[in-house]
Amino acid sequence: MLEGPGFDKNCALLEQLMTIAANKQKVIANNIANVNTPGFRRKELKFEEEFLKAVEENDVEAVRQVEGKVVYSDDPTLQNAGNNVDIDKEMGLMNRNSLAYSLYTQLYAKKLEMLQLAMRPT
Amino acid sequence: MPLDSLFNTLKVSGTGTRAQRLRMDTIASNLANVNTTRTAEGGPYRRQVPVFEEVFDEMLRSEYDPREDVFNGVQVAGVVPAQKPFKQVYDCGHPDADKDGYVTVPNINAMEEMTNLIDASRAYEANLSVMRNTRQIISETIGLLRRG
Repeated sequence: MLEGPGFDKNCALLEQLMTIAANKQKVIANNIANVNTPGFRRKELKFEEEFLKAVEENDVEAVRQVEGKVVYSDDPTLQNAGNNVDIDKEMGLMNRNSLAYSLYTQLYAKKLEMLQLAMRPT
Repeated sequence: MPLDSLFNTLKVSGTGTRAQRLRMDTIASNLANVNTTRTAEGGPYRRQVPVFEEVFDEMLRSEYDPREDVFNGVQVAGVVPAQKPFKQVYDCGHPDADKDGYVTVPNINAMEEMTNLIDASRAYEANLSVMRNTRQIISETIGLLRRG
């Protein structure tokens, strides 16, 4: 965790979003790995409500504590072995999630760049 | 740390590709033995089916902490013989034919195996693209160090 005058609320926000997106990637990878497992029910990482609440309250500490919860999804079963993983849906979610993660890293990099700019002697 | 989680994601997808590869091996073995009438156990070859199970952690049942390394993907519980009965084919010249001229042949449907093969290779590719994707975001994270 980076601390100091240059690292503001936005950094904490981005750090937390990156952590959550990385965990989400793991949940999606697990769903895809189990596409042929009989009786497997797909899981989702829910964090949005908790996260939004913390952001609206402007509470940095609360933002840093948002981890999200893994819940079983009640999507309809598509295969006959009681497995409700839809591979196309998972691939879409995975792409969206990794793009979001890229966005967070890019924003974070920009933040660091601005810090450097501010420190540069003229 | 996001990186820990992402490295675990690679492991999870690795179990996925391994399971699908084993499935393809089993299909290849079934197809190769589609006409095998003699085996070590006696009788014709029996179709083999891999059984997958999720690597399940107790913690997942109720409260779950996503930081913990609880998602471990899929594992193969075992490769078991299929229960479907053998087929009887009339071929009186066959050395393994019974007195009425019928030969007991394996319980394998080549078409079914082929469709399973397509399904397995698609699932393998899906796991691979998750790996590729995860690798890319890992290198983006590491790239943050390159600045400055």
